[in-house]
Amino acid sequence: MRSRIDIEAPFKTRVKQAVDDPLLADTLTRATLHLKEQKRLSLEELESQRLRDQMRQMKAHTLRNLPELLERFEHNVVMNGGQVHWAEDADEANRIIGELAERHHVRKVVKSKSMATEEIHLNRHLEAKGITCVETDLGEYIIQLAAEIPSHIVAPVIHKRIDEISDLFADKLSMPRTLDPQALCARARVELRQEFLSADMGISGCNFAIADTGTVCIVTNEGNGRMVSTLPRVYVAVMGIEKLVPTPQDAFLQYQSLTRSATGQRVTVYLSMTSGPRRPEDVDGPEEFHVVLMDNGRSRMLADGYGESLMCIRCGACLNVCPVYRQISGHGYGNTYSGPIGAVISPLLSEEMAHNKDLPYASTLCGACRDACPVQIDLPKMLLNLRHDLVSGRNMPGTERRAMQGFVGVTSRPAAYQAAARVARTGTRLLSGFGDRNLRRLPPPLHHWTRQRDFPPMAKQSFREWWAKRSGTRGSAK
Amino acid sequence: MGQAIRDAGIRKVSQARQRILDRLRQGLADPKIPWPPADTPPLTPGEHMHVATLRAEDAGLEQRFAAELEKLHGSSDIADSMVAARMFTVQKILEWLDDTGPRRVLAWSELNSWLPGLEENLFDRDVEVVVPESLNSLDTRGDLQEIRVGITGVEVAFAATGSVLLKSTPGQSRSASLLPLNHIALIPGTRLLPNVETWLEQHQQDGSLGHAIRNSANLTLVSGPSKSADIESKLTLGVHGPKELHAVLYPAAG
Repeated sequence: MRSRIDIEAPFKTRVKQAVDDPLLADTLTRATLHLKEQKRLSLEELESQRLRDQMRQMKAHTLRNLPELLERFEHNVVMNGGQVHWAEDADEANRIIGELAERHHVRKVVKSKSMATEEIHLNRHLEAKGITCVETDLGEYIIQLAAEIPSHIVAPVIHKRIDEISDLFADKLSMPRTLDPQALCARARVELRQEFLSADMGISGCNFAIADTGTVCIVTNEGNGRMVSTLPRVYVAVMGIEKLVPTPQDAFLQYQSLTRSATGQRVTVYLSMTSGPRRPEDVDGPEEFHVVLMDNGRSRMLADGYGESLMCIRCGACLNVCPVYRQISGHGYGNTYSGPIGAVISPLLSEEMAHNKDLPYASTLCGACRDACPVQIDLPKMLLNLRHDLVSGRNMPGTERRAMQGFVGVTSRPAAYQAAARVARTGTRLLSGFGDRNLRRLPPPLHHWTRQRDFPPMAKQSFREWWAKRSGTRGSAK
Repeated sequence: MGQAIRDAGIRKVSQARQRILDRLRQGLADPKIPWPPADTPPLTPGEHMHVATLRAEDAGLEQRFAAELEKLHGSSDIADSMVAARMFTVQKILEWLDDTGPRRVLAWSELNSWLPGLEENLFDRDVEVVVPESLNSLDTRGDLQEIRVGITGVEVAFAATGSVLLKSTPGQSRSASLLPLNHIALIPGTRLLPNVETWLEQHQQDGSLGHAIRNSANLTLVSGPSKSADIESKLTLGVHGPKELHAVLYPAAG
């Protein structure tokens, strides 16, 4: 029942695996359209453009003052009785958390959904030390049972149908097969409640953190975020350095922008705000509270001109409108972060630079992502900039570079272009059997192009021919 | 030797801090970076838009709160007196306690300060009110696992989103609103506000906002019962937290 996409495979292989799965695009289209519609409904009841403008202003101000805000946040977490750790990269973050776990003799960790810990592959690191990591978000729990990775920022099992999940529960938990989601959910509740009660450490990400008060905020619907930040002895929040907001007012603005953009909810069921460990005499809550502030490529992104992408609030709205995402799924991107935002930041995050140079091409540059973004990040522009940076870095495959050079040569001379177009017109129509079917495969060396995409047969007549005829007709009617 | 290693560890940690801050400052000092712009002002207090607001057709805060909570699969009673509120509360609790489970509820301390006479009413109906002093050992927690109902007050409630804000204090456990399958929240009218922005502005004006956020280890905004749509976008309730959330709204004493 594993996902058909091998995330370790090269990008083009992953795309082929995704496109070859006949049900995947249907499943994704249904789910993303649902999220998109919910978002639209929740935003049309308010001045949504004003909300986007205020968010953009607040995030830009935050980035501009990030060093001072980080220092203020650190000071306030310490004043609240918490501890702050700084990590330059994934290795350092993993080492810090690993050492914390060892110091507290931790055998079991419960985790709430966290992209930051996926980014650094924390589970792998802790499990190598003999520590059990249990994902407790229902979707993440299913993903963990299936030994996969999440395929959507806010809806990790968006690619799975309920019959697949039922098979998984039958296989791993010996549960009788059922197509009742409530029954599956109830079973997960029982399994996971025992894990919450017996875990020594809770680990979460952070949706945003308030610099003025040293408060870490996590947003959930299920309540697992409350569990991991309440029940275990030690609570660790892992956050990228860009997750800060200056004030409580900013935090609630971002909270409501996030919930509406992600799932179309006015509010989520839970917003948990942690300011330090439990106070003396408190009934419950962790004895220790740690924050890991992680750079992992973010400061370099700012210096290299990609600072705008650091305003992302991880709502997933850009995934839900992306035609490429719907075809290749989150796994097609082969990374923690998928969709348009993933195509931008995955190649820039330090760990993942090397095998991600194809990702900036996983976009049609249609601009739907920019229009959907609650902070109006210009994702298409950044994808273009990335392509430019990659090409000037001579990272482009040789055949594509030569093809592009040839294309420039032909299109800059009208006669050559018309001749080439005539050949292509006849050729493609011949190949499609004079029908209108898309070509699944072009002859070599052009078959490289059609390996991951179809090629439409060209129109019977060229635009120039059509224009000449059209002007002629209009002329005679006069 | 041990000391030297520890010192090296501390030096390494502070090096990471210094390097990250230096890189950020260096990047921001470069006039050529396209983002962020040099002169973006912060949003000043009072400038933030009210995202969810009351509408002209809202009959009152209580009605709007009830309508919003219902959309979120919660339920509520609007009582016109404290006596009625007590009756609604006891009724709901008895409905949730079926004959098979223990007749115990997990509560915040001093329930009577929220609703005078409630503790006596529950005692009369043979319901034990459990107010743990500490839930930090597995034994005490395991013992509470069977309890199906939690009772809490609220720090404040917001009508426009059907939300309650819960604050952890020595008498107010987080567990009471988290572990049981059913949660009942007592909301005196003085604690019901139009929306979260109103609450933020009130604290901003009297200079107590920072204190309101950070003087307890945890603040949780709760809007409806626990839910998920992870499986094929289909709604499931009671994933980890309560499956039912019932609010009782009533006029405060006096």
